Amino acid sequence: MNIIDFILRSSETQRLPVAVYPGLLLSGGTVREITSDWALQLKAIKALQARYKSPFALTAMDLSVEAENFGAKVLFSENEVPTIDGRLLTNAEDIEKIKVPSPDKGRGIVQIKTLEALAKEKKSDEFILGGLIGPYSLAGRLFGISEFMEITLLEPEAAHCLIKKAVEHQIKYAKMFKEAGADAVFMAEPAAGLLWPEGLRDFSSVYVKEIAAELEDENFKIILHNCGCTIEHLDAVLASGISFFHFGKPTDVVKAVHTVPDNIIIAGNLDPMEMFVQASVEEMKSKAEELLSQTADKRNFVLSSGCDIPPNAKLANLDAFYAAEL
Amino acid sequence: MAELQKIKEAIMGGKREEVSRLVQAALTAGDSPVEILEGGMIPAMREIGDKFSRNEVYVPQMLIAARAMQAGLALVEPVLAQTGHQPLGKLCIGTVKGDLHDIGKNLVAIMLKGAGYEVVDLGVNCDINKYEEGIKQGANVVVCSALLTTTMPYMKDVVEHFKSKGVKVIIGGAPVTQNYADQIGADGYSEDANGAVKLVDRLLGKTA
Ligand code: B12
Repeated sequence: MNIIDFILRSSETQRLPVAVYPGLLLSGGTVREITSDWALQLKAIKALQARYKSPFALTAMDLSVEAENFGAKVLFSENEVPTIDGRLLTNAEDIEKIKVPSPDKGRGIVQIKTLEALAKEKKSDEFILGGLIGPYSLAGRLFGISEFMEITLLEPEAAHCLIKKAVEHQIKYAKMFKEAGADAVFMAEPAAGLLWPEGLRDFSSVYVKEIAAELEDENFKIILHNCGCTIEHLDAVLASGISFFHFGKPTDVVKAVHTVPDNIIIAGNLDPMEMFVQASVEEMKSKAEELLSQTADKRNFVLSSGCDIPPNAKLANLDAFYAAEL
Repeated sequence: MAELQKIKEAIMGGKREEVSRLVQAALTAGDSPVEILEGGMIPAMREIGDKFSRNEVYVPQMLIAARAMQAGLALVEPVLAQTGHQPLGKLCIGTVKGDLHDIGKNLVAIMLKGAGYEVVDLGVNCDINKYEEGIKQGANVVVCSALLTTTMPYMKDVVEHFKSKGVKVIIGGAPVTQNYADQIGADGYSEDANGAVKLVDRLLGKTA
């Protein structure tokens, strides 16, 4: 069974928090270690698996991997998620010139190896997900998030040219996940949420569709994460044609799940900072239960965090997330 | 005047080169810089700011309009200075310590400039000393932006530091609320860049 059918046929609402870094609270180690050593990342993920018995396992959301592979400079620190420093590309000529690297070099391998190890031990009705960045956001990380938004309007051809290069890279990278045994990839497109709806469609969804056409089949699916968009962007996001969407705090997920067809999955959207780091256990439980009750009539809803949960989250809150009941 | 309308439209459309050309032409023709500013450029930023508040335009459109505005200002400002025109007031703006998000801060800065204020942009990752530099340059309001829940508490330090010195501090950014502003005793809060201008107008008693 594929991940979508599994969710749609479950009698209870499934839970899929975007959580790997909190695994460090159980396994020990630092963010820096698990983003550069697959065995340590595996250990953190397995610690979470052992505690929560979730049918889903996801590799770390390290959205610097692909841009680094293109040549961007990455800032590392012990306990913060690696991030891109400065702009690798600054004009249309740079965009034209940059070559698409092969994704089998660099730290992408850490992610692939982690996934491969998880897939090897997978039981039936378990699903292994690889984390990667979406095409628009990758282009934004190479050109500068702010500057890239500007060229979508001022030099749309250059913008499309860079996104196409990102697509080429992400198709290859996602294929590596697929070959390593992934059931799905979790593709994060955070920067696209700042675009206007038609812009989101033309500069992101169209390309997600292209990636999906290359990769999706009966047993491999794409989950699209967009933590910046609002309900006004819903049609533009759906234009990607895939069946599994993951939204953040700005999106009214209750409305979204009651708007989309029943075979389209909507996941979200408990805020990582507010709910997993700062809230009390009681607040977390009641917020999760509220969301469960508002979506109780829908089988196509998955309870999740709105974005990646940081390493300083509280385990007690993650416990409460899983313990919340209708 | 037709030219002012064209300048306004060019700014709203983010047409940087056209703005430069039109503004230069108007200045060469002897139009008053105040008139160009108040009749074309400022209304452009107000109008696009309103559209942004109503979700009719989004961040990318705001960013290109801001750049076009900047191109126009670069030509008008030196002429204004020569004529002894006084800005409405002087402010300094920066994203707080530990925080590197600057898109919102840049929009607030340009809206304030567009409204006739002089703005010292201190950049990102600003500690209290950095804001002090802005004050030394003559600013009497500190405009603080924060996008992270982890950096937002630093605003309290900034507010407390300037409280005793008679410098006003206003705050904003996605996680900030009116409630939080009241709680830490900030002199003002607003949800978006357009609101920031109205806030400063009120605070300094201007109704430009
Ligand atoms: C773009 C972005 C980035 C870019 C920043 C690029 C840049 N040059 O600014 C990059 C990729 C570098 C980045 C990095 C990080 N980010 Co970030 N980022 C965003 C994103 C997608 C958009 C922010 C933005 O620009 N919004 C558009 C602007 C126009 O809005 P704004 O800033 O709110 O400003 C408006 C108003 O608030 C107001 N305003 C702003 N300032 C002021 C000041 C005053 C006085 C007033 C009156 C008004 C006012 O006016 C503006 C215009 O209307 C948000 C998610 C989202 N969709 O909001 C996450 C987000 C802010 N980031 C987040 C995080 C966690 C991070 C990172 C820690 C790493 C990570 N895990 O991604 C790092 C932190 C780096 C650092 N130390 O600062 C979280 C913050 C969570 C939290 N609540 O603390 C968010 C919410 C994403 C999420 N859902 O988790 N990020």
